[in-house]
Amino acid sequence: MSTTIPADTTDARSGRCWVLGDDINTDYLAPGKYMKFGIEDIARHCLEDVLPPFAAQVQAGDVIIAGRNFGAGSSREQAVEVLRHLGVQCVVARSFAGLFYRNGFNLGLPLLLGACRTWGVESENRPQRDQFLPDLQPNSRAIGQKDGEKWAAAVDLQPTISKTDRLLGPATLDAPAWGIAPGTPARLDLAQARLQLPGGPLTCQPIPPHLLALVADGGLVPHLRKRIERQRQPDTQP
Amino acid sequence: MPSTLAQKLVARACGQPQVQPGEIVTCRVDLAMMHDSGGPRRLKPHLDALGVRVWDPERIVVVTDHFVPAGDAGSRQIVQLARDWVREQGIRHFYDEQGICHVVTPRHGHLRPGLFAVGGDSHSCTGGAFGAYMFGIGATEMLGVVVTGEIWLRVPHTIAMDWHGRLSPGVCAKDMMLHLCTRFGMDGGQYEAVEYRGEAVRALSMNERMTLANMTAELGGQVGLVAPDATTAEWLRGVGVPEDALQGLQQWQSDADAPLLAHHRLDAAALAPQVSLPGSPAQAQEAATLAGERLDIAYIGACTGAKLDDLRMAAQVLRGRRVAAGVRLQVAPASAEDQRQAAAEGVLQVLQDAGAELLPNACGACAGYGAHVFGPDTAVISTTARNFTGRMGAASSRVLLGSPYTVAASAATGHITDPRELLV
Repeated sequence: MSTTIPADTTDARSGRCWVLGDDINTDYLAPGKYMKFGIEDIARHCLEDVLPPFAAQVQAGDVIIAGRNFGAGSSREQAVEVLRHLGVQCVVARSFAGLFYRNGFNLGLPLLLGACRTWGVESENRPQRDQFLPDLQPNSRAIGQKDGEKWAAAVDLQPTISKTDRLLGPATLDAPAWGIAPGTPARLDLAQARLQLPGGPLTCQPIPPHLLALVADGGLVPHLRKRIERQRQPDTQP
Repeated sequence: MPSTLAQKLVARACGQPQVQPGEIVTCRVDLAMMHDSGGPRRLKPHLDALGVRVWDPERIVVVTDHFVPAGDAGSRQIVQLARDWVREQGIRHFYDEQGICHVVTPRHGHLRPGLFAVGGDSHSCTGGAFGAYMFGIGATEMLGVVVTGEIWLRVPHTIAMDWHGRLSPGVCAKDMMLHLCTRFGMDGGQYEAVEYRGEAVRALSMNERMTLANMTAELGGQVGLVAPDATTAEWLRGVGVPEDALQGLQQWQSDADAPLLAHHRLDAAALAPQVSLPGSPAQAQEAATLAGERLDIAYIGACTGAKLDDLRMAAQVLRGRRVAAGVRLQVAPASAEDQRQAAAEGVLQVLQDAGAELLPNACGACAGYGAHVFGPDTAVISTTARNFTGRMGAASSRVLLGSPYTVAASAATGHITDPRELLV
């Protein structure tokens, strides 16, 4: 990997917000026609079909704010790598595609869920509007009234996927998630899963411990290296 | 305690008697499948740097499908690296330019009920059609698998898609999935297990069940499962899976009272042919409502849309017909074996007589990596899975999605057509 995120997860860095809508897919992030090239070339075309100035203007420490289902589509982890390469320090979204979520942490890019999860709106367990508070920041334990225990487990440990958005309406460039305007300065406090903004903090769901450990190691590759070194030198470990 | 099929598969793989949704477990991987794009070229540098080899070459399947046929130096280098790497690692299960991994892998008997498998591609959930817990992962995660033979998993909840009744003629699995994506959204699967059940699903062929499982990726599920039955066993016998591996299939199904995250009941008989508008599979309408929209290209390809049964559907529409003037029909059979069988049955001849151009057995325009992509402003109807802006060529190309029936019918008329009009 060509860039690294500081191993200290309490580190707080500043940047500006780039705002995107719902369903930002991996083809937008890492277009197929450039996939045979190296990461620098792919990164130059990152988001060119939806946010043309992004690749040229993004700066180290910047943050992406997105709607639901960020990273939908392919397994290609160049979609994460380009963001790392361009210096994006985290993505905050209402929800992530599960495969992208795993890829993010495997490459050491923190992904933060800024919205709560509810029942599928068309399921037989149809939620009532008063069962959750869509814009109340997501301590989801407060939400699962029907089946609170199962709910809390799902929320705390799992990558995806908010159905509140269906009732919230789509996130767009004009109506960004949480009303965060493009260019807003932001500071990430990873340990607290909190994005500090001028108008107050956006509190996100806590990152599960085993994934926080992955980010602390800098991703899965350094994590594996540690594991292999441990196995090779069993006597030197406590 | 009653369990879903997904829970049973995960419990076996992590060596526990039972697992609960939400639990984080570590599973042993029975099979790791990868292709030329996300596989060897991404793994080799890390394996070399770590100084380790793959944990078990017998459990690895490598398929070249994304950068083949290699049309330029960069692509040739990627494919050659894959060829060299499988030799170096002693991997026997290597299928070079034989077709798309999601079709080639089961066709060689690598998938069977009860397995826990990962694939280096988002459509790896296709394996769920065989009652295997199979899902897509990225290349770094694949590195973790080939080094350790393990992967972490959050035990999923299950969303049941219960299709009662029977599909009407000219309607197929692709229509079911475009409908589900549209109704529930591309995140409707919530990265949980989606289980397809009901009379209409039981009646589907294995190729059709593969289409359901495959497009679980577009529905946003982690896996798309169909409980194995006699249809599964018969198909697997046909590809040489030994009889002892087919014993005890009945254990791989959800208990009747296992808790579900959601249970959707859907009427197969009421479903009409679906066409998704450019940009997303989750914007389908009934084909009839879009009738008349002009087309330049009709594309029958991809793991989800050019298996033997898909080619048969297209031929059923096109028998005795010609592609409309000004329209190109392109057919890229999903694997060499599907193409061979289609040729033996006369299906391929029907398509060629209708004017189809035959393209290589590869991901082709669906992945958008190679030479076969669509030019500016081209209007396309395609049997593939994703029509994101710019994915299959120029950002200004307009790609609609439909079933093989619908794509074939639209090729014959030159505009979007409900295939039932030509099937009477």
